Amino acid sequence: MPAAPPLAFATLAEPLPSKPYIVGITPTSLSNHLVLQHAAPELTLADNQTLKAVDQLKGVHTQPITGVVCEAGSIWSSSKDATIVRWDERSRRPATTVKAFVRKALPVTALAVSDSDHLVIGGTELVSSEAHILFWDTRNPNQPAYKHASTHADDITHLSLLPPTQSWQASAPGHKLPSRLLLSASTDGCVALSDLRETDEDEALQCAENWNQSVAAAGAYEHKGRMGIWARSDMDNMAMWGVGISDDSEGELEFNNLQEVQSAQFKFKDFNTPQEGPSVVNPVGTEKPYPAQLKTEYLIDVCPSLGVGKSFAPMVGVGTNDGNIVLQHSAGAGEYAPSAFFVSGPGARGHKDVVRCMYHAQRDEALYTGSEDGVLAGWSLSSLPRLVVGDPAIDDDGGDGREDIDSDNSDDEESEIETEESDRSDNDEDDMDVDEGPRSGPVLGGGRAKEERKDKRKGKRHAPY
Amino acid sequence: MSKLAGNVRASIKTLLHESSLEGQKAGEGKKRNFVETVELQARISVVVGDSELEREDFSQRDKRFSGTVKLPHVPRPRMQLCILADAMDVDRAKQLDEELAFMTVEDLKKLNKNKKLVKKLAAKYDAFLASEALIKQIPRLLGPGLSKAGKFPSPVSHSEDLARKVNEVRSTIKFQLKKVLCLGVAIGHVDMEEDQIMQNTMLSINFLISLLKKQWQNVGSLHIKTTMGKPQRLF
Repeated sequence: MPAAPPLAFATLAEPLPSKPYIVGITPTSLSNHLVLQHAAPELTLADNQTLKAVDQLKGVHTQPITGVVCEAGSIWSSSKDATIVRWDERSRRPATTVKAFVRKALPVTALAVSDSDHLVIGGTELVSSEAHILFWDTRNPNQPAYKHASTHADDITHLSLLPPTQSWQASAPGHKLPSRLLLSASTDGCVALSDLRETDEDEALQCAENWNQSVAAAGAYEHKGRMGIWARSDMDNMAMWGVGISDDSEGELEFNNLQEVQSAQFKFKDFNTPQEGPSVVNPVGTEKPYPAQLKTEYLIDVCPSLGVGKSFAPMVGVGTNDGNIVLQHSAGAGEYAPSAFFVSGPGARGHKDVVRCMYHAQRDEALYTGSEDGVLAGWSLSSLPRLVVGDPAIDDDGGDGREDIDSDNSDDEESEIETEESDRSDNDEDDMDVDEGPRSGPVLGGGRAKEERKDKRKGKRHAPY
Repeated sequence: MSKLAGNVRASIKTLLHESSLEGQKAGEGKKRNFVETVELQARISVVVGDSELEREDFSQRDKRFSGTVKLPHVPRPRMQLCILADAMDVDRAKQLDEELAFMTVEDLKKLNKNKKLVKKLAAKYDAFLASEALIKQIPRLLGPGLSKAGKFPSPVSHSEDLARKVNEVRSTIKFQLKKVLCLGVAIGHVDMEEDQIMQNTMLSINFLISLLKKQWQNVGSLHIKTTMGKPQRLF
């Protein structure tokens, strides 16, 4: 009988004064800031330790911002006003404005940036029955260098770059793969991989899959040397594919091993929360009641960095309309089961409305979440028992020498990172005493929480198991 | 909910009566020379209570409202499908009771990636299926033409029942709300049985509600109507 999943309260939660929707969280590339995206023409910079707003980036966009990418000292933002703006991270001033215009102004709904290729890429809404993917050279951003207008047939909802092909796929004999692939997803139901550097749109598309449901977001993840693509739809269904080379003579790039997860795993599902015992983690001594049962109402996001299950399915965050979060892992064959309850709804501090986004800061072992009532919350993962990721090799404490805690089956954290760090983890406590740097206290700000976490760990170590 | 069901049944009866020959004779409606489609229309209400805030709320949300659902009975029987088939699927397509158009790799190669020909192919059918082994060759054989038309094929594996797959595509409908807060979607036709329309309607309504944040509170009104007939209010 595995122990109940841990339950935690927000380590820190900070409401923004004007209570805007927080619909996206992106870490900056240089400083310890988070860029918060709103359903408005502005961005907020928040400190990742105190979670307090530091500054705002506004005054350039006139329509809601749809995408944020931070790279090499720049913050790029795309907007429905048909522009993409580069902000300088240090001065927090707008530096470059790129206009998305092909015969008409094109609202930009997805954004990707490749600094090494000097490319900024914008995906647009469907205008005059064409949905464009526009490529600008950052050194000459007046005109798009080239465009792909045939990849999708409706609003483009996601763009991102896969890691360089050589790093995850040895080239098949006789078939040369493009070195950089662009992942795109759209309301037309397709996810596609195309050659980033191909200027002829007829040749660019490498492979595509029609999922037949409007794709809200997608992403690429690497696990155990395999490249995978996940997608979630506007109906809160989820799908995963592997990316590989077909084994026939043609050796084409292909999506393979489709796995689907129905929204019933996430939506309108009741979960009993643990009421007491070691798995109720309460790092700051909040003694407030929380509901005995959570009824989840939507999928927040898919988060492979939290962990990937045995069946290659990444972990997800699921939310309730009053702001509670259930992290879930793949329990095999299209099913999901809870890994942790993050309570911040009525009775606890934190979100009181729909949670719209999450960001997992791997190095800091912290999870940040943002909600529609303008609350930014931070959760320290290091103070929790390890989260179950749905892979017995990891969840059963696969001999990584870490003698934690109150259960033998239900404790795990992010797989790869954790195994990497597992050697260190026994020394972690000692490290922490020395290390005053930001690493130890991502959302905890200061020593009190640190002390507490340390105590917690000690307690766990001595607990019988 | 049960009250709604009664309401729906009565409305469907009226619809069918008004579009039938009997109805025409009784002077209540008209029988048309084509099979009328039955459509569900919904108006999404953004104002729950009368707060102006809520209105902002909905437009601010900028979450897309879009979903597809498979109905129990085929609403569009005349939908034209084509399968891009390998040898085995060609045989399977030929064996279906109902004819299913197919194209082989050789046929596709003949198109020679010609934009006009691919466009023509895309226009000829409402949707495409493709054998799993073939789907990865589509970009190379046809270029992006099918994607552009929004008709990139859905994969069919050899272990899947082809007839069932065809049926699934025909009975899947799409709800989508873009800039206006109204939507209409075909859920059947007047040659269907009353019970069939009933089941399609109830499933569609339940699905629609599940997509809304505040479920029933977000529904302004629900109507059902035939192509040429009068709308019947359900909710």
